[in-house]
Amino acid sequence: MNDQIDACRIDGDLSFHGKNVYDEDVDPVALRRKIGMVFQKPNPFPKSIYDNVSYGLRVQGIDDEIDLDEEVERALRGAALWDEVKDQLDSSGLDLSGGQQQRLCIARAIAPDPEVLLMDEPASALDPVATSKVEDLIADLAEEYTVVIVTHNMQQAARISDKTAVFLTGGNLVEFDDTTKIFENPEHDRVEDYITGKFG
Amino acid sequence: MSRNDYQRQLEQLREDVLEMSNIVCERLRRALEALERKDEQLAEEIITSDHEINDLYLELEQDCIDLLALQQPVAGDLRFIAASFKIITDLERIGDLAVNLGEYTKRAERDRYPDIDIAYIGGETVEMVEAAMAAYATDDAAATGEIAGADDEIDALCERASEVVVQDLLETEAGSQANLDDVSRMLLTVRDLERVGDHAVNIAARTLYMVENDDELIY
Repeated sequence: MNDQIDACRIDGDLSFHGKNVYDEDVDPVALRRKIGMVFQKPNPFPKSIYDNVSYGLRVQGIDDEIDLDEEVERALRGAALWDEVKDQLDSSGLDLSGGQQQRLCIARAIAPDPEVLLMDEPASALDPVATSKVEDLIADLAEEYTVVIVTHNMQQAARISDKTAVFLTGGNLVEFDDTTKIFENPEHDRVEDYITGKFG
Repeated sequence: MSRNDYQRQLEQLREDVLEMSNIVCERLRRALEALERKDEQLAEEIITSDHEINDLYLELEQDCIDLLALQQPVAGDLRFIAASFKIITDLERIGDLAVNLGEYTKRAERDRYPDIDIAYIGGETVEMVEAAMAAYATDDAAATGEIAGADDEIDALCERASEVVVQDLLETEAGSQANLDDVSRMLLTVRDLERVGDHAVNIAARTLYMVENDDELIY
């Protein structure tokens, strides 16, 4: 997406397997197969549930019906959505509830079997019950994928992450450590103030 | 059930606390056995293995702190963790009292007070701890009151035992070092067993708080 914006400016490196992803010779389509993304607001394509999940697989060149069926089911099961939608795969993804839509987006993201999942506030638009389902799902996904979540919800970070990076004013990384360390005995006073709510 | 990992951690904590109580009760039973049989080797084993209970205590304390810091428990979950946090302290102290009994065993040479049935009093206190832990395991609020009642009997038994010691002291020639050792050892033994009963009541009190949000037994 950044490639489409002329004014976009990038400082520093962003490495994946030791390779800067902004290097000229990196194929963005191949890269996106390895790194899935889920956004703050559920954003299913205005297509059927099936087509939402199979989209990335078709881009990869998989068009055998049986293979696609299997992969769609695997991804929907992986996103803990299969049992709720298996009888309505042809209905629009936009007809689902907010929590289901978000899990559909997660299914879409994991369908191409990426290595990393980036999630930007994946539960902030969801009610507590849907949030809880998505958080459980994230914990399960973390068994198989590296999951990076951006959240402003300190409790969510504490609940579901193994490691926490704290970025404060200006987007500067202040501290990165095991989540237990960050929430029980952070090194930096600014982090302590922030997580205890004293940050003015 | 949602928040699966969290639910698993809570269940694990309960299992670990129960496992700790099994170890502590077993340790106390063996300490009483050592005292009864004047088995110095067994007493030594109990003394040297106390670090296991201390290590377990620190581990479970850390688990409680992690749950509080990372999972923001509320309502029943919060009371469960708070109660567990307190109960493991009582269990650790009971472990220390078993060590004390081991120490007394090493110094016990004579049966000066045949009328004081330490094995019986000790057995009753172990049963109190086990009953309190069973109440904790099964959220049994009704059982907690019975445990507090049982402690009155332990207190009465301990008081009578202390009277026997004092009476004996009054009736015999005081002054011999051996006599004083026997007196102090028996009084300390009785005091420690009475404390085991108190810890059992603490466990029952925290369990009642955990299940019913009722602090009646705490003080």
